Amino acid sequence: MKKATIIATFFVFLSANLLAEPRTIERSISLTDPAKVAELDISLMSGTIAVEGYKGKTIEISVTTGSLKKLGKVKKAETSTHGKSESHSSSGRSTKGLKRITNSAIQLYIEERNNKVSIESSQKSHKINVSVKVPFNTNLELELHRGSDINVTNVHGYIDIENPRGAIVATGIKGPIVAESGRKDVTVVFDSFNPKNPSSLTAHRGVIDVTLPKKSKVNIEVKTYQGDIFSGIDAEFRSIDKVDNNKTENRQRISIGGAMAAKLNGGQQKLMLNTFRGDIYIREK
Amino acid sequence: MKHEDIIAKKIELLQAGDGQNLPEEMQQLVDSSPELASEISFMEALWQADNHQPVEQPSQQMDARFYQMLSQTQSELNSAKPPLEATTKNKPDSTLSGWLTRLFNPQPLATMALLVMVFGLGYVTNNTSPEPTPHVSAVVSKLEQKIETLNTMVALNMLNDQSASGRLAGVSYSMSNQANGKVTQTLLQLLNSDSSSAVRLAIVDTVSQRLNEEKLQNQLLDSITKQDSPIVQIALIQLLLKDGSQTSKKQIYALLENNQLIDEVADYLNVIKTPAQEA
Repeated sequence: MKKATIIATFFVFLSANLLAEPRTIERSISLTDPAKVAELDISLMSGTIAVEGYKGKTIEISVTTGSLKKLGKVKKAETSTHGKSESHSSSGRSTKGLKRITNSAIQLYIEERNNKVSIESSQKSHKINVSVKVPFNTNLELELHRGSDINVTNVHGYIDIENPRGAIVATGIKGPIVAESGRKDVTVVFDSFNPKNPSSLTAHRGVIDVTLPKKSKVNIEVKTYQGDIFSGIDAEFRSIDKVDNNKTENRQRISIGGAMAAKLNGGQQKLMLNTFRGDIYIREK
Repeated sequence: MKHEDIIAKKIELLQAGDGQNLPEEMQQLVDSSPELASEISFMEALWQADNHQPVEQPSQQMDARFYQMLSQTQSELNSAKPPLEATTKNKPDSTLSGWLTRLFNPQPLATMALLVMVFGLGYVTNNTSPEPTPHVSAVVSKLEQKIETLNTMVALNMLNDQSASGRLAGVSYSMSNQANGKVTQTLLQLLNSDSSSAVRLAIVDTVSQRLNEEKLQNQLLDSITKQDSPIVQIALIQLLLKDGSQTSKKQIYALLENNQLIDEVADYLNVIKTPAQEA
């Protein structure tokens, strides 16, 4: 039997007039098969992403435009353009007698294909704040290239998050989760811990703060090079790297960091926590 | 009637080798269950390929080996789950590779195939004579190879998943299945190209088990300068400084001297290194 494919695509053009209030649009996306697991894929250049699980069976999307990212720079450029001393654009071409037209259109693509909803925008100059409600059991892939924070609440599918510049906060999740931030913190609160697939949290410069349920069976592996580890769980951390600074038979071992590990309730599935500079906080609830 | 009863009957008929079909009642159940039908087809194909004949009873050591393999396979399948949703990037086609893609995606069919093979291996070893003959050894060896091939296919499929979670599970699966050369090469390719630092860090842990291979050490050295993430770069350096050869260590310090490392990694290495370690 030929599989039915339903594709819903929206090309959303939003006005982002500098002088106007932020504008919000909302869309409700029906899934091809609401009985099956949904997948949400968001990739934005700037702005914020918030995803929340709810009881419904549709994907509810709310998009709000923010102010221009380089507002100050734009105004300055306009002033200098109209001034007497400078009449050139940043590319060096003359703007004498020309009037700057602000590009206020924002392109945002929303597509549904076989239960996978994709939201994409590659525009760098505008902040786009995307807020989405999804069925609890939805898989997420979220990427914010130059934006602010990503928040996820009460989503029980697998979660992949990449946020090089902003923070990541995920609460009420079950995992598996693979989350990576560059500059800011990663905060994760598990409702329960998925025993089938490993999870991993990475913060290059920020802090990792993770909270696990008391009864979860987790093999926690922690690696930090310049940060400290703070644990409030009922399990002992031990070094899993044998570190030896002494020379033995022409063989020298040195330590530059080393990993620590603990088995919570005997351990079962891996949770890897990695930072370069940031501290690591492990709590239980 | 349980599926296992039907499978046992099918094996009995295959072993008899007289071309008899399943009893009508069983055949109806097979026809009504796509999973069971697929399993039976797989068994027929496997039996035909291996030209199985009734064989003698295996030794106690072979029995013990079989149960160890069964236990290992079951624990592996439980501990490493392939992608939650089958979301491969390429559409399966009608070629052999397409068939294999369909076979291993979604996971249940691959799981079933592995279990059928282990089941077949167990049946062969449990219904034969006390001393293994060369023929029994050959059959067992073939089945072991097939299981390894299936493990490899599952691992490669998982490593190709579009989600970082799926690929991380693939790395974990590769680790638990003592990755063969092909899987190791795929892991090394991902080490240089995967967008997720978590996946790359997990790969560093996995390949560390085979650090005694000089070629692998060289590949890891090459990978150091390809990393854009300080945390992955320093993990590679840490591994090679700890367990690598003297040559590898010298090359790492050469990278440091030549300013080929990420600044914060170089700063960190400059702080912790001592002249003795550099020598």
